[in-house]
Parts: sequence; C-alpha cells; structure tokens
Amino acid sequence: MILQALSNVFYTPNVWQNRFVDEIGLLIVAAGVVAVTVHFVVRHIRPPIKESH
Amino acid sequence: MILSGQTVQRYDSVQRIYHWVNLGALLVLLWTGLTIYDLNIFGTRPFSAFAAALIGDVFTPLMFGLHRYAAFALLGGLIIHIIYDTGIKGIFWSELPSKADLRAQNILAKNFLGISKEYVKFPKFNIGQKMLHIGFAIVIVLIGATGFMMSANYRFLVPIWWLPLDFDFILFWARVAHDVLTFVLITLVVMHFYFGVRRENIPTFKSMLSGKVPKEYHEKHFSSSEEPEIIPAPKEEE
Repeated sequence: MILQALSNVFYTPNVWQNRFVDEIGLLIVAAGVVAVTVHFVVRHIRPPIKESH
Repeated sequence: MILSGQTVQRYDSVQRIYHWVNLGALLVLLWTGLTIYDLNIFGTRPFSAFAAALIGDVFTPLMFGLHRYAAFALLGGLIIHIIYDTGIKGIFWSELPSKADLRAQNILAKNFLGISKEYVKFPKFNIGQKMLHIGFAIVIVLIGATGFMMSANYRFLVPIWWLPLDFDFILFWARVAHDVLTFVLITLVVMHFYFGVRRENIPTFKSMLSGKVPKEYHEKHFSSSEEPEIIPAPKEEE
C-alpha cells in the first residue's frame, strides 16, 4: 500500500524506468539514511569516548 | 589536546588523488546516470529538465558519452588502485576483517547499545570501514559489469555469451541490476560521508587532503599495533 503510493509519486512511465527499481531504490536509500540517523542520535546521547580522560 | 606539531602519514599522494578522482567520477556518473534514468521527484523530472535547459532537447548522446568517460575514469582508477596498493605497496590482508576485528566489533556494538562502556581502538581502519570498502568494491564491479552488458561496444568484456540467455532478457535485467546497485552505491556513499565528516573523525577527513594526521590524534584514536586495542571502561566518578 505504502510502496504503491510512493511508487506512484516517484514513477515516470518511460523506457528507462520501472516500478521495481523505483521501489527498491527508494527503500535502499531510505534504509541507509535511517541507519545513519539512528547512529547520529545514539552517539549524540552516548558519545563513544569522553574527550577528557 | 596540546599538539606538538608532529604528524603521522596516513595516505600518500597516489591514494589521495585516487580518492578524489573517484569522487569526481562518481558525481559525473550520478548526474548523467540520473538524467538517463530520468528520475521523477513528485511529478517533476529535474535531471532531464536541467539537461534540456543546459544542452538542448537532444541531450541524451552527450549524457551517454559523459557517463561512459566517467565510468572509464572510475574503473581505470580502480585498476590503478589495485595495482598500486596491492602490487606496489603490498597491502591486502590488512584490509580484510580479521577474527580480532570481529571480536572488537562485538565490543563496539555493546558500547553502541549501552551494554558496556568498553571501547576499541582499531589500527588504520576499523571493521566498518573494511566492510564498506569491500561493499564498494563488489558494488562498483557489478555496476561496471552490468554497464558493459548494456553497451553494444563493450558487452564482449563480460563473458556470458555461453549462457543460454535471451538478449532482451540480459538487457532488461542488466539495467534493473545496474539501477538497483546504483541506489546501493548511493547508500554506501551516504554512510561513508556521514562517518567521514563526524566531528571525532575530522582529522582523518583532513588527512585525505594533506595525507597526515597530528601524532597526538593518531595515538589517541588508533591502535599502536596491527591488532585492535581495548580501551577499558572509564572508572565511575564519585
């Protein structure tokens, strides 16, 4: 359902593109952005090494 | 941190030039590739519209030409990188994750999840960087191969003619794989960029320009041996 809605937004009906690539591509990039955002938030709350030790 | 002015060499000039040629080639490939793909964002097609405004209505041949030249710069650079770093500098095994790296990764994961306060100093590259490097290598080689498979002039470079596959089938799936892998590559670049510009990594980011990091930074952030080094949990303040 969500994929369908997203692919309708991102879909261009021409020979160089298809729904499958739009959907998968969007999910892959979104997963990467979510992963780095989670890392950023967690490391902001809990920095890896205190600067002064 | 008091800096003594002493530095540690991290990348030599060939490695730095390779890195930035890669970035240049990838940006051209991304721009021309997304124009060829004709990316649609909320009903607009910004890449083809930009190319039409810049070049005129017949922009496709130029885009394909640029895409091809940038691909050769990327793949040519990759060959030089392999010859230089493995053949001349003899670096290979140290770039693959070791068992010690995997153990260290567990400590890092526990620290990330807040289970433990132990941390790890890695040698030149940590396991995440090594995995990302392998990911880049696999994805770029596959994108290159699928790119060649779509080109009438260069498909001979990918020896799959003996497979009982229909030409249209190969063309269709090579394009799908090329496009999907491009999105994987974009994701890898996003991750690489994020970790590269994090505050604690800025000196290593700068070393991709100057080649060097301050000695004090190097000693604080990197293991002194070829093995990862455990940093014990800091004592609780009373």
